[in-house]
Order: sequence, then structure tokens, then C-alpha cells
Amino acid sequence: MSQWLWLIPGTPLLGSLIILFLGSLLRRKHLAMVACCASAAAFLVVVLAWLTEATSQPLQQTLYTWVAVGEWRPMFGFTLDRLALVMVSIVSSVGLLVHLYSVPFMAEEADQRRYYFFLNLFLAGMLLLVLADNLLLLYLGWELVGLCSYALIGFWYRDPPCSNAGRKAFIVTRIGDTALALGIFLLFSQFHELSLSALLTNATTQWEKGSTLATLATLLILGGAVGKSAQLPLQVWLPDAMLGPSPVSALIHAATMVTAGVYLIARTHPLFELAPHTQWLVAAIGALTIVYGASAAVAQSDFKKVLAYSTISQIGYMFLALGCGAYAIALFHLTTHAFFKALLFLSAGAVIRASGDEHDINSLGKIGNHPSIARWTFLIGAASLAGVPFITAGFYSKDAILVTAWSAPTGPLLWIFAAFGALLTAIYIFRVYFLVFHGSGPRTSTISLPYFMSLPLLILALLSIVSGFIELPEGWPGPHLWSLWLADELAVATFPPLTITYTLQFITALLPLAGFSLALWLIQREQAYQSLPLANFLRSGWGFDAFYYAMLVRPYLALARILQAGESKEGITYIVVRPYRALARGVSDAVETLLIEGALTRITRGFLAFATFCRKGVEYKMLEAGITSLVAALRFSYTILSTTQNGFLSRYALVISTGAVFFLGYWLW
Amino acid sequence: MIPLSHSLIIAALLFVLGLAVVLLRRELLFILIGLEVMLNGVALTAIAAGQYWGNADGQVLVIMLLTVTAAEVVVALILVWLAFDHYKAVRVETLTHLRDDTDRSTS
Repeated sequence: MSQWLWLIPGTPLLGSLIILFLGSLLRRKHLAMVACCASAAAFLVVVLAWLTEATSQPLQQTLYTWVAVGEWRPMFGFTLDRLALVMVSIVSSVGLLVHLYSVPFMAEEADQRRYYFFLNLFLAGMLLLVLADNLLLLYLGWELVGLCSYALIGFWYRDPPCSNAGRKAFIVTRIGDTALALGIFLLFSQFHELSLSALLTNATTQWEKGSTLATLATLLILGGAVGKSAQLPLQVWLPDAMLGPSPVSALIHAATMVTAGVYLIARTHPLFELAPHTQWLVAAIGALTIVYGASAAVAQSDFKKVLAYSTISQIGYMFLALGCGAYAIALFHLTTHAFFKALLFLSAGAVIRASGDEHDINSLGKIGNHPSIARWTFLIGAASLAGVPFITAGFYSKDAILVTAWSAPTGPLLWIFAAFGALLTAIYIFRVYFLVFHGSGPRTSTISLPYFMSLPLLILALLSIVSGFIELPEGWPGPHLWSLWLADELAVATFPPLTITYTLQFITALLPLAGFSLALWLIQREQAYQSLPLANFLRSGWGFDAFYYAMLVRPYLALARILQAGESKEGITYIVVRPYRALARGVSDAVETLLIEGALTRITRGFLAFATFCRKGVEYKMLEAGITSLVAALRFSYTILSTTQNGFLSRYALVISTGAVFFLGYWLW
Repeated sequence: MIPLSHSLIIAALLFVLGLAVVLLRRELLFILIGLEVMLNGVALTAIAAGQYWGNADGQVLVIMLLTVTAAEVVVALILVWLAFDHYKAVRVETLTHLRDDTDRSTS
């Protein structure tokens, strides 16, 4: 099995290359087929990895030496341990489903070749990121998914908001990427090693707990994770990223790429355990982001933006679990979240597409007539997101996070944030559900979805329910398969004593029901045109965009404008040119009166008299004949030479290179 | 150890490819890209020579070259942008203001 590891990122990469180079020879239908086959092949290899020995011991494959500089030789190598296996399974399965969903969804679009190229390339990059056995390769995957995310958000790039959103996502995540790069440099400067396993062992043996270097390194890595996973304060790009096609939102901005930060922290968790302050910061960022995302989602009116803020908030839960040292549980929530959030996005995409690209939830409610499969699967996804007790996967993963947060440092405070977030989660998702699917429009549906769209929805709906049963809550009789299976690599989370645990679980189970009824109350208020207090503040995402615009973008633009003023007439003119010009005019006036009026006039008069004398004296005709012939010669050579001055850049380049070749040839032979 | 000739062949290929792009493409941006490819060919030559002589000067030269290239790209991109801003054109055949327009018959 080990030698086939490269096929997992390799097949989507191959697919994207085929689409890139041979895409013009294929028909549109076949483009989609190539892309789907590539992702299906990756998924098959992952299934094979499950069936063979991959689950028992980590697999390792080194393809070749990537760079060789002296002693330092980063390899192009892959590692498949259980953490990576979980991630690879999520990425390839959701990726395959989204590829299938895209076939009918994007069938009408132009530029399918670009779409499928980037979708496949994204899959390759994400799998590379997850499988990489050294930080350099991980960073390659990290940048690759960032690039694809940028290109796919701006897929409809002729629409200025879309291309702006893509650019914004790229620039904001770049801040995080820079931090991550600096972190990698720091680790390399300390250990002269980038291989993950060696690096983590070295760090745990050489660094003391709480040392400055460990804190600094983890802070930088956290910066990267925060940027990619859209946590506070770099979350502003994700809501705008929803302008891309819905399958892209489901795959990249909900299920896989945004969880790369969670994966990175889980992968480097020995480092984080050396830096308790950073670890607490991870939990605090997570807790704050939970409340931030959930409260902003309550006030949104754009269907997909609700889901975007919801993603921000749910990844906050994963960060909270990471900060509490419950890596396996963070990964558990990552898994269930990937299923139900992809489901929510795909069904939302189906509804939006069926209603003629209408994004506003109130208008969607008025239109009605939504495909019934989309409606039921959305309800399942919503229930799972809200964490409706016992029957949904979201309940089991979120409950575990809430309970384990209690036992962390300053746990009760974190728990209050997380529990409040859970309440808000139930409010916003049921608000959206009722506004969209129980609006004033007709409920019965006349639209049926194509088979390729309904199949992924059904599979994801099934997974959103059953994937929770593999890890029952702490203190319950039943299997704890997940944490036991991951126990070799990721330490088991600590839980508070059983009585507290049961109390907390009881409260967590009640929260979705309370949220459900609050959502109904909220809708009644909204339909009576009573808006929430702070609704505008929440809708703008706590005003982060305006804040960043005022603090960063505007000063930058102002600086650019000042610098540009050198070219225009306003800026520099007032400062430099005008006084200078006035001075020059004064001087020239004085000189004129003194010199020109006085001496120069007389000199000119003298020259004039001399010229008249010469003209009379010298043979008039001889001069004229000489000059005429000279002019004729000049004009002749001018007509010949001016043909070379035709203004075509390429011709000039051609002449220069021909000359260069001629001279080289002359010197060499 | 890669033989010198292999590196030089690759470098020459890069250079010629870049030159072909410069000569054949008509968009300013592609011509810039072609220039970059040619510069990379040159850089590869420097690296190969440095490796052949066991001397780090070649690599130093390449770092220098990268810096110069970055500066050159910045200036060139601004020029392209200005050209677009003034003439609303990015194709070189429309940018023929340097052509000698003097009427030959009358003068």
C-alpha cells in the first residue's frame, strides 16, 4: 500500500493537468467526467488504504529529494497516519460528492475547463497538505489551496464584486500565510530540520515547557491557522467568499480548506503543549469566534452568508477543543461539520439555483416552490448544525467539546461562550429554515433535482446523522470508537467529574430546543417589521470590514494618492512648482529688462548688419546649389532609414536579436 | 552531479522559448512574461557555471539577478499600466507612437 500513497494527491493533479493541456480537445461533458474520475480515483485509493494495513500503522512514502542544499534535503514524501487518514477521507469523499454535484450545477456555465481545473487542483493541493511529511511540502499544499480558493471565489471574475472578493480572500489569508512561513523559518533556524516527526521530537526534547521560542513559534503557526480558518481577527474574507459558485463554497469554504488551520494545529500539537499561553489563546480565539460568527449569522439576510458566518462559528468550536487539548474531539467535530456544512451549502445552492439566483432569504420565502429533497436535506443539516439531541451527529461532537471545555483553564468562562454560541446557532439556522422553506410562497414543489445533485445530498444527509454514533458522549454506555482509535496519536481529552458532565450534557441538550423556540419568536418579530437591536451592527459582521477599511485600506489609499500627486497637477504643484515658478519669473523679468532690452538688442542689430553683408558678398547661387544637393542626399538616406522606424516593438526586438546572433556568430567562428 | 551541458541546454531552451514569446506574442504582458523566462534562462546559466567551477559567485549573481528582475517587473508593470491608462491598449501593434510619421512626399 505504502508505494501507492502518491496516487492520493497524484490522481487529482493528473486530472487537472489533463484538463489544462488537453481540455480544448475534450467536450464539455467529458471535462466533467475527467474531473470526477480523478477525484473518484483518489477516493478509491483512500478506501484501499482503509482496507489494508493503513489503519494499524503509519504509512510512509518518499518520492524523491525535492531540494538538496548541503546537509539539508527536504524530501517529497508523504505520511499517512491516523490523523492524516481521517483528513484524507473527509477531503476525498466530500470532494468526490461535490464534483458529482457540480456536473449538473455547472452544466450551463461557460469556462468549465477553468472550473474543473481549479477544482481538481484544489483537491490535489489539499491532499498534499494533509499527507505532507515535512513543513515545506505542507506549505506548498497550503499555498496551492489558497490559490485555488482565490481563483474559484472569483470564478465569475467579470463581475467586479466577485473578483474583489477573491482578491480580498487572497490578501487576508496571505497575512496568515506570512506568519506561518515565518514560523517555519523559525523552526528551521532552531532545528535545521523540516520533517514533521523529527521536528516535533526535537522540540519536545530540547525546548522547555513555556519557553519563549516555543511560544513564538506556536504564535506564528497560530497566525497561519487563524488566517486560513477564518478566525478572529482574520475572518473578514470568508463571508465575501460566498460570491463563488455554491459547490465551491461547500467544498472549500465549509468542509475542507478552512479546516486546514485546525489540521495544522492538531498536527503540531506537541509544540502547542510546550506553550500553555498560546494554547489558552487558541481556546480564547475559538470561544470569541463562536459568539462572533453565531451572533453575526442571526442578522444576515443573504442565504449563503448565514452559512458562511456559521462556518466561522463552527470552526471556533474546533479551535476551542484544540485549545483545551482535546485534539481528537476537535477532529471529530471537523468530520461531522464537514458533512453537515457541505450538505447545508449544497442544498442551499440547489434552492438558490432553482429560484433563479435569488440569495435573499425573505425573497426566497416568497418565491417558495423549492425542491423537496433540498428542503428535507437542509432540515437534516440544520438539525445537525444546531445539535438536536440524540439523533444528529452535530449533537455528539458539539456536546463533547462543551464538556471538555469546562475542565480547561478558565473553563467555565469558555463554556459560557460556547454554550451561548450553541444557543445562537440553533436560533439562526432555524430562522433561516423557517424563513426560506415556510415563507409565504407555495410549499409544494414542482422542481425535481437531477440525479447527480440529489445523490450527494442524500449521502451527506445520511452521514450527517450517523457519523455521530461512533463516539458517544462521556459517561454514556456505548462505544467511544473515535477517541480510542486516535488515542495513539492524539491524547484523550480530559473531562470534568461525572456529575458535572451529566449536568453540562443536559444543558447542551436543552439549548437547541430553546434556540428553536426563540427562532420562531424572532421570525414573528421580523415579520412585524421589528428588527433586532443591533441588527445592522451584527449584519455587518460587527463592523470589522468598516474598521479594517478605515484603519488599513484608507490610509494605504491616501498614501498612494499622495505619491500619485507627483504625477498630477494638484499635489506637488502647490508645494514645489508654484513657488519655484514665481521665483523663476521674477529673475527672468529682471534679466530681460537688463540684458535683452539693453545689450542684446544692440548685438543682434550688429549681427544682422553682418549677415546682410555676407549675403551680398558671398556667391549666392553657389551656396544654394550646395545646400540643395546636401538636402537631397539627406532626404534620400532618410527615406531609406525611416522604414526601419515603423514603431512595431516586435520588429525592433527581432532586429536586435538578429544583430546579437550575427555578432555572436562572428565572434565564435 | 548534473553535467554542465544539460543545464546549459535547458538554459538555452528557456532563453529561446522566452525570445520566441517576445518576438511572436503581441500582448505587452506576454512580452513581459517572455522577458522573465529569458532572464530565468540566464540565471540558470549562472547557477550551472557556478556549480561547474565549484564557486558560489554564480548563486550570488542569481540572487542579485532576482532582485533586479523584481525591480524591473515593478517598473515594467507600471509602464504597461500607464500605457493602458493613456492609450487603452495592451497590444503592441497599437502602440506605434514611435513610428516616423513625417510625410515624405512634401518635405
